[in-house]
Amino acid sequence: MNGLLGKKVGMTQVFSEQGACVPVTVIQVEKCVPVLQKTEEKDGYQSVLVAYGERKPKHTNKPLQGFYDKHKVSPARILTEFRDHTIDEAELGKPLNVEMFGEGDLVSVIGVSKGRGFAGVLKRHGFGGAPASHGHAEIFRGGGSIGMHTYPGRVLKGKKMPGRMGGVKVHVKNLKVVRVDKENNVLLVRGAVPGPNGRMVRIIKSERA
Amino acid sequence: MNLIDQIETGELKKEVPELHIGDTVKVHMRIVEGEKERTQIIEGIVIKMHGGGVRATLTVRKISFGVGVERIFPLHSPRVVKIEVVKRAKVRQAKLYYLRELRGKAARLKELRPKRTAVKKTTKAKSKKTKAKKKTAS
Repeated sequence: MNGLLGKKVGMTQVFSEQGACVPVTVIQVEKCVPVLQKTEEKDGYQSVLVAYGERKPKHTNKPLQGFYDKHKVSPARILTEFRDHTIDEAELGKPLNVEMFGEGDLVSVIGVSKGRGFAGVLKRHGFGGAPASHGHAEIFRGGGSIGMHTYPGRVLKGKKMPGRMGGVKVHVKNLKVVRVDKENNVLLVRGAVPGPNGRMVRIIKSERA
Repeated sequence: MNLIDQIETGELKKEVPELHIGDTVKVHMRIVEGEKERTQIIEGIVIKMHGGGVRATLTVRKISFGVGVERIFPLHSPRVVKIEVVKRAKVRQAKLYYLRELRGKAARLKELRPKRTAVKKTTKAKSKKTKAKKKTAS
């Protein structure tokens, strides 16, 4: 098991030993408990089921309460799986902590990006837009032509156009772990991670490490 | 205290000299060249103070071989070993960008003599007394 769930707290900066200013994202790992190992034989695939956060008893329905009772884990906000991860049976039910990562390790952070709503092509695809002057009127942020003429007589598939932006799963690979705070169960990761402050993110050890 | 403030206060230096715009300062900077380490001193006028907390920076302007040079130092960077205040100046702007257009004698600032603190104290005490009097009157 080399993955965690955490909360994006926000960004700040710290100084490295050499004196360089490093932009970091603070990720706090609250209660993160592995509940169950799913196996190839039994479930058809391998994964570790993880319970994150806390859930009030009044918000826990009976089937769910039954599940938590069976595995002797207190009700959690989120139940999610880490595919292809394995864990020792002895570790089940014990909270995971940031000690699994060391300073300098490379990690991947997966999260849901900020939703931008219906966005135009400048924001969504980085188009250049049109010049502000020299006879341009009412098309400053337009995307220009979307195709050819009678042939092919249709818009090509995958044409970049305005639409819903953000709110999708984003996978940021190979971010360096700058600091590990075991006391507060906090990770400082170099650079930005997807989503607004307060959102859940998934941190896994990078494949390259 | 929230987590980010906690991290940022951990990054702050314990002692930072009281700096003002217009101060002539000597910034002692640690420079690592390969294996060797040395301290470089940059002397100039503080023309800009920017940001707060760990993000605080100061811009120091000096004339080096006839060319104006400005350097921005993060106040809390471990590379900035020490900042000495050489002299203070009377300044009426928060940012001294106007010095960029001036050369030689025109680019000097009027030196500030330390204030007599005793005078300040008495005026404060007086104002308090007057306030008290007003209260009793009403």
